[in-house]
Amino acid sequence: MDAIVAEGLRKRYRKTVALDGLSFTFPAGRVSGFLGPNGAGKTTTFRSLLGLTKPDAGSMEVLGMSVRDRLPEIVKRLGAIVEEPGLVKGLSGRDNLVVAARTLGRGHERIDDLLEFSGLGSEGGRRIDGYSKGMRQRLALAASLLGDPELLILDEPLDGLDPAGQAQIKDSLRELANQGKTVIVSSHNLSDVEAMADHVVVINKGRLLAAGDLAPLLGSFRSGYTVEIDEPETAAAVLTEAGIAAVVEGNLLAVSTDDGAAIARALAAAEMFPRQLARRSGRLEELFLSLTEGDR
Amino acid sequence: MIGLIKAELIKTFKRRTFWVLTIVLVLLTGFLAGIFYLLPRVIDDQGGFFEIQKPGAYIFGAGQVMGQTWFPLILATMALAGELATSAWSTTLTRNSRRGQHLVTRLLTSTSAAWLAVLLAIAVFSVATFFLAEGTGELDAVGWWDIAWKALLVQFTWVALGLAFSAWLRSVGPAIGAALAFSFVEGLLILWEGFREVSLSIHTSALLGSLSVGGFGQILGDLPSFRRGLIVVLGWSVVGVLISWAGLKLRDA
Repeated sequence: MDAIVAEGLRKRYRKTVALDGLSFTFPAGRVSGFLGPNGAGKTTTFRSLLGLTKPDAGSMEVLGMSVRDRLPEIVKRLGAIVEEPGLVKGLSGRDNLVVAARTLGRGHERIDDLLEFSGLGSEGGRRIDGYSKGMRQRLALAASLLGDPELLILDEPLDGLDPAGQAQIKDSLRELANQGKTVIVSSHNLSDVEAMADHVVVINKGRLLAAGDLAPLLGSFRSGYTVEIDEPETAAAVLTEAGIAAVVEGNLLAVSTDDGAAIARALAAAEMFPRQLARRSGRLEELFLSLTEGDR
Repeated sequence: MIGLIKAELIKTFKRRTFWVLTIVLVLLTGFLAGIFYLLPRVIDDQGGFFEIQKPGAYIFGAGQVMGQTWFPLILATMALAGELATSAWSTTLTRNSRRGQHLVTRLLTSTSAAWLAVLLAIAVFSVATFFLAEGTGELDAVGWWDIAWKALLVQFTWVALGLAFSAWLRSVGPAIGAALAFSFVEGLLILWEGFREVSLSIHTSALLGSLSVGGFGQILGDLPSFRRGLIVVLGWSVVGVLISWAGLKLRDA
């Protein structure tokens, strides 16, 4: 069963179209990335899934239940961080979790463990007014896990964290997925998403651009060849004259064509012979830029 | 709902805001007591205006404290408007999507907190009364109980009004500003005879009987009856609750 199924979502804020017939699915039990440039509709989509915003049209099912009809049951089984964490200033980290547990009606017994999990065990008694942004983010993540949710929806969870904190959170999210939980993460840091997600949904202007498991998506995204050759600058000039775009990247050439034979012929005609000619496996960042720039 | 109440109690009593406001209330009360009891000793001819004698002086003092409507207004608006201004309220709502329970919780906790603070301030004024007021006689247990339950009702009314401003304005600054402006204007409007029929200030005094003490009763003439005072104060509390509910429901959409 898919954890989330959305079909035909539409949302307009006066003259701004936030969602324009958006349809997607997120598989259960995995870490998925939800990507898009600023203003693509990611936060509006998350808010719609959580019942914070009502779409003008479309349907959403979370954990097999309709958001429109069964939201109270759904929210009991999910945890989320969307926009600002909603922590209570003036209270300590521990008291914030106590308040969240009281409001949720459960999770009190997990507070100590979650403080340790979030790396705040020794800081739990301190008021969050003195917390760094990263500490508040980690506390918000701990609060989202109080109810031991099946599904986590996290909007920019790594934002503001130092590299050590990011690594800790990424490991934790992967561990949660290994436990069978579904984790959906939106982030502008595509390398982070690539490192922890195995499924992505890419949107722009409220519409779906691409969706699927990450490995096949990157594999099918042809972004040319890498050529290892002596005198790469000369080779780049030869290829450019032959009508093949080529850019020198250190000791290598990045060539933007899927026709490897054409590269070999052009270089051979100039009596230049590469040591290696290899397909470039797409990086998520390149895929993302290719999709979103093509959608302008 | 017990969980919600416990959460709100933590948010109220474990943060500095409530305690700072309470200290300000107590200090202001002490200052008022000084004005009413010490000033006449230096002003020779005040026409009996400040002749506040025991045991009525205890009721008068309670009335002065309950007249500090800024306290429950600020407490209530800060309790709700801060969360309404962010996604905290809507997130809480979807976690426990019963709007009525959230409103009742805030009414109960903010009223309880305001009541406790007001009782403390009344105690301070009463101590000043005991030592400084002219006359003899003390309030009995029934008299003190009278003050206590009336203080609770008055705090509930102003808390409901404070929540109403928060529910519609959804931001701390504007909500506090509007609530205090309302309190100020409401106090001025008692000079208009037409408004006196429904004035919350006048009917609070009627409920308490505080303006019958000293020369202050001369200002407005006859006060309404206790019964009418109770009905009007209750009416304002219902108005506050209804406006709060309407604001939360309509502006949450």
